[in-house]
Amino acid sequence: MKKIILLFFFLGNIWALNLNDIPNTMQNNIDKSLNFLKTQKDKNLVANEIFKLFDDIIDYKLMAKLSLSKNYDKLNKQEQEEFSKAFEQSLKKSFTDKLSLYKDQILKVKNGELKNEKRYFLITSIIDNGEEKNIIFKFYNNNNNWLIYDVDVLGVSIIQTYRSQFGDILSSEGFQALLQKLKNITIK
Amino acid sequence: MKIKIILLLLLTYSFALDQNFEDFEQEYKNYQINDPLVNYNKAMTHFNMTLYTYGFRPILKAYDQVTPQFFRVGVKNFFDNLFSPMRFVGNVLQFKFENAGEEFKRFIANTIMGFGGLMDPASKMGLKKHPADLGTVLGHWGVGGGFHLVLPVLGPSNLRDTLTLPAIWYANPVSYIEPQWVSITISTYGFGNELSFKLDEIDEIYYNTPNLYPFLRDAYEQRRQELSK
Repeated sequence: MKKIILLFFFLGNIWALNLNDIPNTMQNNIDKSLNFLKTQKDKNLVANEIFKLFDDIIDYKLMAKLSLSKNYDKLNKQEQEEFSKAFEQSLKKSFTDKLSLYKDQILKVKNGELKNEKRYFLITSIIDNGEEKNIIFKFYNNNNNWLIYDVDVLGVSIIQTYRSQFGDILSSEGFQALLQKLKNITIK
Repeated sequence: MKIKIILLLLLTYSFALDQNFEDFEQEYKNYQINDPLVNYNKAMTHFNMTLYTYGFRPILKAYDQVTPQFFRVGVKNFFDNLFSPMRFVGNVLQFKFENAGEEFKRFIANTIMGFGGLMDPASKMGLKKHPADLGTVLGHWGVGGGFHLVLPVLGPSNLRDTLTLPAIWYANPVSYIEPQWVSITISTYGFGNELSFKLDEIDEIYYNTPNLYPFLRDAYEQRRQELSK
């Protein structure tokens, strides 16, 4: 039994993303993603390849929880799981759809900022129409496995906008309506 | 004894989890938008979306189809270059001198080598654009946005940015063309042409966002805060 537990810890550490590896790992993953976009036309296939690269680095469950704020704890276990699943699906659908807006821009890692021992912001930028636009990947320390919990696009936090959107729906229409709206997001 | 230890460990673990979640909550709690006109704003957002869906969108899609790409790009570059002096002044007033210098070089390069701004050689030379206007200048020096306000046609704004609109209008050389209806027509055309490049983005946001109004409001306010830094 002890050996199995040790093995789990060992494997856990192999796959963990260390703080110092974040910039390189991210730039590699970004380059691979841009390459998929250049060579493959089917955006669903491209999106799946990109998800394979980033799924282990993104904490979808935490993102779902943060997007509901305190309302998350008011849901029962089953609702929480249902919501987490719908949230991840809708995030992925929305990302897949946005891939068609990509116009050969190149995303480059600029630098990273260790905000405190638990937070690290990786700043990347893209030149679009002559303007440098920043995309910031926000990581948190999950037992030395650094995971993404939010992304700022042009200064706009994805989680923050979800918190306002979801809070508004929950207060006026309730949980089932929110779930339905998430499921209604379709790929054109 | 063993059970007590396990319970203690579990309690400590759940406390740590709660503590982590509390840290995240604090990160997002600092952000509050003043929105006393929420009902009006929601209604106006709905109006703008309807106007876009049945008015601007079909017209601009048709414009997109019949107008050659090089012509649309030329018009876009021309109007963008007209706003370059305002961006320059806006950056100077925020003491962002490096940005102002780059904006000045862009204006010179695009005006001279870009045939009066019809082309954008500056971007190819790696000279970056630095958005700035009176609203971001005031924001930079600590003037808050006031309450959020959705304007007809123009969309999300706030009290501060709305009050600066006349100044932005007069900072644009087109506004001095006489008679005034000509100047308004030219500006509207420039605005429509610019919009014609963003139809896919607008479609994606308008038709694929679970709750449009809070999204637009937060995106606008956060973006303006970012530009005011």
